[in-house]
Amino acid sequence: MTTAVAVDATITTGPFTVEARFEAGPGITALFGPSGAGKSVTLAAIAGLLRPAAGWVAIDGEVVADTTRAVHVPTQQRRLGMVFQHAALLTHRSPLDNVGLAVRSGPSASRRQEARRWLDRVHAGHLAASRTATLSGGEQQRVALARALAGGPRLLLLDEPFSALDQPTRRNLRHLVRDLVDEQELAALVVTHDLADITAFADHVVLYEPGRTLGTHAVRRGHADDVAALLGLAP
Amino acid sequence: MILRSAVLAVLAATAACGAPSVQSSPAAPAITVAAASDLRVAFEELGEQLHAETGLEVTFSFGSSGQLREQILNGAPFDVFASANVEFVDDVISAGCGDPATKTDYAFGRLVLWTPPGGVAPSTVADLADPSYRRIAIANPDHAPYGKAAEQALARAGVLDAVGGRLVFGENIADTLRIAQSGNADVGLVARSLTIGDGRDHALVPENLHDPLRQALVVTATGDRRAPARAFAAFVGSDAGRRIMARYGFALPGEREDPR
Amino acid sequence: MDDWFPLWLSVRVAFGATVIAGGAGIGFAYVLAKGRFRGRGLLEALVTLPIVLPPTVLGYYLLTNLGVNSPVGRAWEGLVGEPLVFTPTAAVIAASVSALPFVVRTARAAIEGVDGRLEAAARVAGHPEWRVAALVTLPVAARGLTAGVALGFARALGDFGATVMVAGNIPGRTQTMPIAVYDAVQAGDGSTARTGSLLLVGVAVVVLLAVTQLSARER
Repeated sequence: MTTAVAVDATITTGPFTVEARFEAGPGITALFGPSGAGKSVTLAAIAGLLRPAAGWVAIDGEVVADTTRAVHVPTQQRRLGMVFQHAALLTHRSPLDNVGLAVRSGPSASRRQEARRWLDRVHAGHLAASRTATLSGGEQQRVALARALAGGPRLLLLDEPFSALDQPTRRNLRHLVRDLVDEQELAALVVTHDLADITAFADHVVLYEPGRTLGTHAVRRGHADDVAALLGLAP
Repeated sequence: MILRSAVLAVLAATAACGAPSVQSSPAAPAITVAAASDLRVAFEELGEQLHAETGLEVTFSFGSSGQLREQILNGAPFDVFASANVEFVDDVISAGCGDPATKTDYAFGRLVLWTPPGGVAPSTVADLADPSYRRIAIANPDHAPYGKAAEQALARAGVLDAVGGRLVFGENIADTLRIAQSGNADVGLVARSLTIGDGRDHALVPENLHDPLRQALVVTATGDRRAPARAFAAFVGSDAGRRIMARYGFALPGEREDPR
Repeated sequence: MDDWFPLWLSVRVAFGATVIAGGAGIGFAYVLAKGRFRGRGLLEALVTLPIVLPPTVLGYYLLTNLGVNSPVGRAWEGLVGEPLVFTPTAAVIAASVSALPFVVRTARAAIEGVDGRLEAAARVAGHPEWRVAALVTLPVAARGLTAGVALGFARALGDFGATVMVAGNIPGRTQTMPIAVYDAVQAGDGSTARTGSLLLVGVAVVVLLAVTQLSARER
């Protein structure tokens, strides 16, 4: 298994500290654990939005942060895609513009075309010119997903992407993410505290308890008892 | 005094005042006159008459003489400085901002005891010792010549200590009159020139109670505005100008008796 | 009121000051909201100073620093040919300085109120910081920035103390509306004083209502 992302770091923000240590390969890796365990903070450190207090982060074998060598590659140069819990779209721009702003190169006409293609790919092409603020939660997350992919990321970071959505919408979006990851041969980290996310689409799970990671485990898709066993919930 | 001369010497050495070169169109010559507040009514009439006779457009900036002096020393683009006090004119000249040849005494200011209609009018300055005058308005003696004269008058009448706590200061002599007119003081020691229009008699403060309010002017213009500025100065001293000044209660140089 | 020059001058001075204080104020607000550097507290204190200083003190410092004996004043005179002080330009500078803290404080709150995830999304997408500011921070904060600039305009329109010291009270040249009101009171011209005051109150109320609207629709 090639390593898409590896973390061994102490990450501190305010009074809160998390010790994160794991590796993840291609496919979907869920970061699972109770709220406040430090999952989102780990994602922020991988994205470079936070600097670890100690330790290092590597993406695709490239060390992007290392406190012992004072390495800190800026977020802009890490080539990531990121989706937040609430889509974090610019409401003063159209959905198409939101995606277009994430396309990294090319003249503006070709960037628009590329954005359009990604919107179509997430089944949101018909929303291209809508007013962004009027989109439903699920529609917004589709646009946010298109934005995250449009830059050609080497790693996708999803921070509780479905937690604000209803169950049918969650199911649809899980399928979409799964298809996209497979089709683009991507690595994705998904922060979640919904067991259904793991059983439905994760390949691996990194378990968290408050303040630290416990370990990484493979899960077989559709086998809810795998996860239950991990958590000591199974009979 | 020594300190002030020193400061002025420094200012003069550094060519303090500016040389405003705003070109007024030759068709309609225009000048700006910095004038002490007591001149407001008289000078406005004077300016209108001069305009009617010669077409010269005169704009006035009224304020306390001390403030106007500061503005001139800091480069204000005034063409004539008409002070309520000759010393300020001398300051401007020694700072190199005024033409000494144009320095002219044009009037002597007089103080009156102004009371609002229905108020109990004092007949002498000494009457102000009466505590029923709860607030007495004078101009700020630090920078307004009329204020300094009012303070001297109170001192020489022997009531300065008695009224000390009841004095309120106006920024300039027009402001002082406003304080009294608005009912915020029971009596004001103000310029007679500002009260002549109200048609009432106000007790005149005898000249011997204060140093003469020797009002002088100087031309501060440079360049092509020097000529119209001199024309204005000359008009103030002309028969027509003196008639207007006298009508507003100024004593005139050369005829220094109480004109009433 | 038969002379509309003071109102016209006030409006022009306030517009000029709004451009200067608006531009500089939003810049300072951005630096104060985002920057982590030594001396930030001092910078904040300095730009806030005009709110708390007596206008006369402000005017005094402006007069000393822009006057004919100051380096700035001399440089200006060398360049333009006339002194800087006691001109409409000096009135614009005085009004700008007075208006600046109102712009900075309102704009800073608006910039700090921008959801950090919006900016994070732009960074992740590869946009350098200046583009994050131009594409995300400033447009998202636009209402608050507009409110700050409007407040600055109202303050600039109403400045008296600092303006009268550096620009003087020269009718037809530097006499702005607030100074004209003062002068009318001095002259016992009640009707001009009333009309002028009413105009200034009217403009201020309209601007403040607009500011409230902008701030209310922010959330």
